[in-house]
Amino acid sequence: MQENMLKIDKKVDEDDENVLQLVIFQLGGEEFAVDIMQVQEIIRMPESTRIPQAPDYVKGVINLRGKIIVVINLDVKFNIEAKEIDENSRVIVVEVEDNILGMVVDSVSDVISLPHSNVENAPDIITSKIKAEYIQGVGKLDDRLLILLDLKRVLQESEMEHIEKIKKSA
Amino acid sequence: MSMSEYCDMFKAEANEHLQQLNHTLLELEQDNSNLENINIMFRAAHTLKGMAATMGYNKIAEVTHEMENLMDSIRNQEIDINSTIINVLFECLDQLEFGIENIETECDMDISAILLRLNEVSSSAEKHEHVAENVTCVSESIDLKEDDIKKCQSLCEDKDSSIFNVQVTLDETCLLKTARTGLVLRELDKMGTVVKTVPSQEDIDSGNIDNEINIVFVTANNENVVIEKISKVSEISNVKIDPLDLDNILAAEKTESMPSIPSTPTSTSKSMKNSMNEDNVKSVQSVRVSIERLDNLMNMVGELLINKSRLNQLAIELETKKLDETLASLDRLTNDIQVEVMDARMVQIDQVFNRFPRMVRDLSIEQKKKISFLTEGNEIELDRTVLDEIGDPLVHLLRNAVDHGIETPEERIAKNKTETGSLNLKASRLRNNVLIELQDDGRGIDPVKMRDVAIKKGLFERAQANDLSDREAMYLIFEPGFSAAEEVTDISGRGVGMDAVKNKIEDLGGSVELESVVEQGTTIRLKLPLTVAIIQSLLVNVGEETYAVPINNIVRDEVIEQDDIRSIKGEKVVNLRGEVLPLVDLHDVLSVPHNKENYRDNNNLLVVVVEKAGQHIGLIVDKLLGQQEVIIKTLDNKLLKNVKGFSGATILGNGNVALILDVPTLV
Repeated sequence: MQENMLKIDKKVDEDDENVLQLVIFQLGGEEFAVDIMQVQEIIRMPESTRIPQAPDYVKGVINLRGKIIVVINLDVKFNIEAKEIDENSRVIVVEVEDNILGMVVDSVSDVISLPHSNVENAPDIITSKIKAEYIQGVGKLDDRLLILLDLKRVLQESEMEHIEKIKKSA
Repeated sequence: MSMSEYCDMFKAEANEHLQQLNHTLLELEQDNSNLENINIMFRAAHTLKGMAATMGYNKIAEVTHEMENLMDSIRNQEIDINSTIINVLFECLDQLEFGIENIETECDMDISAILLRLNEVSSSAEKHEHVAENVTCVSESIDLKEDDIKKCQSLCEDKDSSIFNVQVTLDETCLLKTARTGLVLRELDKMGTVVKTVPSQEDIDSGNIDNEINIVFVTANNENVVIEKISKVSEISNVKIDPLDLDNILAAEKTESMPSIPSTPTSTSKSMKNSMNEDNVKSVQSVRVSIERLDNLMNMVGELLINKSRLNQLAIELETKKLDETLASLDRLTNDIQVEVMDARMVQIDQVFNRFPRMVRDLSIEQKKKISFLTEGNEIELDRTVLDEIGDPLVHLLRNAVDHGIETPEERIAKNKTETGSLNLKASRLRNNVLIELQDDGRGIDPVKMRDVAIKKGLFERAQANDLSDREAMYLIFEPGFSAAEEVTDISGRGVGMDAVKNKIEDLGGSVELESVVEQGTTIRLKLPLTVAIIQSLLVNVGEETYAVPINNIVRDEVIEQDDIRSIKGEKVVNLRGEVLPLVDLHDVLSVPHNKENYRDNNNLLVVVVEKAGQHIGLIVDKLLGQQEVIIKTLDNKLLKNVKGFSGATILGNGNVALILDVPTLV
């Protein structure tokens, strides 16, 4: 009995190693994916409060059950055009390096499992639009192309940009 | 409970005992005739020793043990207290503090130096003891009480026996002192009656013996027989026996006991009083609770308050009268809980103040200055979080005062001042704030010098500097990178400037004020909020957005007319009953988006007058929404690192987030 359970456990573990669990979302007509391990929750767009002097891609702060969380506009960050906020708009709350924040997206479609082998390095065509360092790879699922985001980079770089901006203005 | 938890408890308790030791030692330094202080120290050291030994911190135990020995000799008046002893004891305390601070590496601590110092003073004390012995005859070294003498008398009457004072010296190497002494006493019991022993029977039983034991002994036997019998017990290095003459003792008793008898009862009654006090303290039941728990509790109370105001708002929206009563009692309850939790977090300011006398003492010795340092208002309570933060700024201010403020005795005499400078640290309660005042009667801050330094440092041109008022010039010391000290000393000028002090206090929602008269002294006032977690604030609208302004910063609100606004050097001001009030339009500062049509067609403007570093500034807002208690939540996100002007955010009754304006950094 116990042996059986151990075997099953092992099988699941093996699956985990080879398969990525991804949250798929849409933004400005593209399909993006983030690792589910980084996603805390997905919520409807709540009322947000603007923060003066914050970087332009910071939409503001929201109240998430008593916690105050910064929400960013990924479209501004990626320099693409998002839809107007509507009933499909969502905030994906992610945790990256102890920093919790929300990302506004046009819509969240599904959660999928994708084998590692289906992920390739980003071809140059996409990178012309979005900076290459934000992209971890491109996932192929049937005929869909999913842009896997490297959230660490996305958020790290935003800090650098900000510092550069200050340097310029100083 | 894990070891680390024990360790934390040990640290906390050990620090309390250390604090007590420091405090009492300072008192002892002031007045070394009060031996009760030595008793207090002895008890504290003893408890510390016990705790350390239980936890296996042997080095700490060893140091405290040696300290105890020294203090015991002082207590028994074998040594007189002098400055060397006090200094050595202070050094011990520093060593202990170091050990406790770095408790993980306690076993690596090098205590040989301090033990050597302790031995030096105790051995010089032992000489003192020997000198005393040489002068006084043996018969006097044992102090017989009246009933002891009566006992001797009755024993002598019964038989044809005589009284002896037997002095037994145990071998240095003797391990089982209690057992050896027991054997000696048993031998003596066989031959006669032991009237009294020094140390007492209890001390012997508990192993509390030196190498020497004095025994008053009544026997019918001859001296030589007694010596012979005792010498048979092994590990005895010397036996001395002297006959005691009761008549002599009685005569001596009459002359000597007169001053000595009253002194004994007073000291015992004192210690009795003390032990009673201790019992009183113990009878107040208390539990140690970690700050983390109180913080969690505080957070939850915060959530409760938010939910309460949300409920209130819903009740208004739904227009249900039925809810009113329940809401009112909920209101009362949450208020009570909040007050209780806040109170539980309050700590006496003494916790910070009590380490300062020691520090000022050390600094003044180092600087060869004479300073009388007084603290006042030690009982004032402050929120734990505030208290934790103000220690460093206060240390800095005190150092500045000792280093730059107060002059050397020679200088002071030349200036016709008293030789000893005075430094006063005073805490007092001022409505919802705590005021901490540090006053010295030293050099004061010279505005002329400040201007010169500012020019030298390239902060201002000569003309600009001359434009500064004296007050503005003095406030320059709060500018980053500004140090008026001509030379950097070990004590101040180490990089943490007055600007750091100011920033820290302002971070806590407080303010710093400075007042100084050249050659008369400087007063620095820190105004601190009682607590940081929950503040009273005024909610205002700027455009469509809601902001909270801490009530602490607000002086009053005013309505002014747009036409009255004048412009001086490009800045908006308004003349209000003779006061020129600089104006700041929050629309501009916060870059609030607005549509031109409805933007202030009204000629009347609402102004909230706030105070910043003693100056009044008018903030133009659009609407006052009323006063509300808000819970401060920090905006600690990497992305907002460079955002200034907000001390945090809070959640309003409707669930939305409002930013809390931080007046000092905003305008």
